[in-house]
Amino acid sequence: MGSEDSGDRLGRQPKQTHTDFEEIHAFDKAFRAITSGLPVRTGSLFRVGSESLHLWRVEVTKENRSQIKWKADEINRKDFEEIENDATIESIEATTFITLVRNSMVRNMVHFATEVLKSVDDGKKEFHVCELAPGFGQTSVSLAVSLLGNANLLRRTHFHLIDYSRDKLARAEERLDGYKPASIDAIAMKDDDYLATTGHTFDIVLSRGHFHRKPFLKDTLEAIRSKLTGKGVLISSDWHSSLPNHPSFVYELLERMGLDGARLRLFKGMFDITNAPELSPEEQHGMEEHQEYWAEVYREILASPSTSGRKSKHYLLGAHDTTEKRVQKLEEAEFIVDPAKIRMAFPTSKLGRNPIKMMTDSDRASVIMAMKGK
Amino acid sequence: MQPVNSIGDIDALDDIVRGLTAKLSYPMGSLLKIAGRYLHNYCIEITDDNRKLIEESSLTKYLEGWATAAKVTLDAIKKATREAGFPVDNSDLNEYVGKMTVEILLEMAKYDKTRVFRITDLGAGDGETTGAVLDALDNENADELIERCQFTLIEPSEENLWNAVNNLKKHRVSKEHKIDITTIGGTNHNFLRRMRSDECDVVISSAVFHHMILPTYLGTIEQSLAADGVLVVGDWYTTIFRHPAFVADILSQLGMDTRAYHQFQSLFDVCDGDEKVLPMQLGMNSDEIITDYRMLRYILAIGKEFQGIPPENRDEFLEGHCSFAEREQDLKDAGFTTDVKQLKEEHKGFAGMESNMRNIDPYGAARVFGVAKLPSKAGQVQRPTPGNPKGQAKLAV
Repeated sequence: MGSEDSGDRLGRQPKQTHTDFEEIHAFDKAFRAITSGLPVRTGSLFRVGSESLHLWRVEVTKENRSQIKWKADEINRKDFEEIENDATIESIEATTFITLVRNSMVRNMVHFATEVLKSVDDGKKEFHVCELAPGFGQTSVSLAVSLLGNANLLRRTHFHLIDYSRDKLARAEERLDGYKPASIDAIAMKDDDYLATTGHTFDIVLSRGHFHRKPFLKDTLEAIRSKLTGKGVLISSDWHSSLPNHPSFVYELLERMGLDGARLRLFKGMFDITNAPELSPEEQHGMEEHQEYWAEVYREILASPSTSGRKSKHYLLGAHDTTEKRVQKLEEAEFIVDPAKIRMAFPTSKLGRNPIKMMTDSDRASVIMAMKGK
Repeated sequence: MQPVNSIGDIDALDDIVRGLTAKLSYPMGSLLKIAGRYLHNYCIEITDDNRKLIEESSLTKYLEGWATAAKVTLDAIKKATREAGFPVDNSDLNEYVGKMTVEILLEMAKYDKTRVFRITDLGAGDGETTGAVLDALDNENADELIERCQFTLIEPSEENLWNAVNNLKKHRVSKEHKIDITTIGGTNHNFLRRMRSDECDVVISSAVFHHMILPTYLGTIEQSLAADGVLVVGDWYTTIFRHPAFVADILSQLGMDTRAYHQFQSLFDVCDGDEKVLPMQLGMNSDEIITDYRMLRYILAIGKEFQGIPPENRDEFLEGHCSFAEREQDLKDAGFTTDVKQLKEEHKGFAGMESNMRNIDPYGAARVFGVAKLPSKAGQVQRPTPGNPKGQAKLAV
């Protein structure tokens, strides 16, 4: 069953919105076919944040919510498998600039985490740090190095690493083990499943560049909050963008990538590419940088002899949102994000602004600390 | 083989050795990339007459090697770093160079509220080391100090410099602060040669000094610094290239054919199994042995990765690494004070510091070290000269 609004001022009929899961599935299949076979493709609509799906003609209802969420999870798992089987995907997507910003994100996350742990440490307390989707463990290892210089704090810190990939977990564990923390618990599992079943509570939950893969992020945030200790914090960094939040932005990108007229007409026929939402200058800049990023990846793949012949798949849609929207989601999940309130909870710490936007005049990447509060 | 010291003979020896390994997926490269202190083990004698030429030739070899590197090269190296079991990488070195630099700057700034700090980033690459300094300044809420920093980035690759400027322009602190950045294209050697005394307050460098095979550059840096100038250096330390016996073992495991392998062994009078006996004879400690073993795994992992990339993008494995103790001695010989107790007492920047050495690898392979000139010692230091390369112990007391 679909829903329809009345026509716009010019009398054009709005396009039908789908609510029936089977219809959505068929609609998504047609959508994916538009960019099928290209090295960079949109990927499924189920990648888009649930709050933006209506702009893509999919309405999340009480009835279809669990099915859509299941599908989004399945896509996430498939992505993981593709990446696991084709190492070039990650290396192509990690441009020099992306790598530099990601390293800077790690530095800021580690700064937050170290300050929090130092400020509540009494010299005896044991701490539990959980990292969701740690990959090769860069953030946890960097935190371990930071704690190494703080009395015997590292010897009392337990690390819990949760990732789909056993191979990456093994590497992360090996790297971390050299620093001899209190313990390392590396579990190959979906983050939501782990959070739903673990008996641990955590002083810190870390997540780097992961939440934009969670179309139903609020559920995950609530689960994280329930697993935090009283003064526990979630320290996350992520890539932000409004690109997936309106079809017109994606259409612009596909045009820039040089998609042929037939594919573009198909896209135009499926979605309303007018009435793009107004963005703040920072958000606009972030969205344009995201477009430019994918256009550059596309150009690189076509230009490089080592990658142009490969069948690697790169998907540009994700559950990206803006930093403002992310803060809103955190607050809806009852986290405290206000830096003044966080500083009050950790009075001896050196905590500055929050969120930290990583780039000047752009909302492309940020680090956010969120406290459980009461 | 008798030691050689004429440039012609050294080049001939180098050509022979390079030729032996040229077909490997990860070739050895020039002997002149090895730290000068180890070259006598490779039958190369450094003299006053050939020192400058060796240094220049070494630089040329490094530049030639860097020119072949492409994204596929760097990706393969990144992957091999993980497989070799090194827990940290250059980004971690950058982080702690940034943190230590800011820790020192904050202390120095307490005593002089108007001083502008001239910071030189040697081998700046894409600007990540300077970016790490900006991160640390921001995390310390050092708004006022940010405006008092002038950065000079030295980098041989024009493309890297261009990227560095663009990357740093986008750094979040540049939204609220004017970041003063000057870029100079060129090698560290050329830049240092032009430097005058008291030209900067702080020199930072990350994962670069192991490309400088003779320690004379440290004397030049020391001279270019202000009277209380500071050097913060992050680097990788290994002695795996100290002796040809260790290199022979690498070559064998990379799949060198038997004939070439025996030629290499006979050139440097190496026997099978020497690599197992030498660590004890050389008095290597367990951390050094483990680090060298991981370095061997790292080189072999790169060799494996390089099999999948075009030969023209393959790097070469020899580099100018030394042990941390040797680097510390070079720094002392160049006139730097390295002892943290003395630094705490006599240098404002180190007053609150527990340790001026940050070991970020469990076995000491990656470290950040902060050293300084002490104003009280100004004029007392015998700097390295061609006739006295180490500038050894002729202090006026």
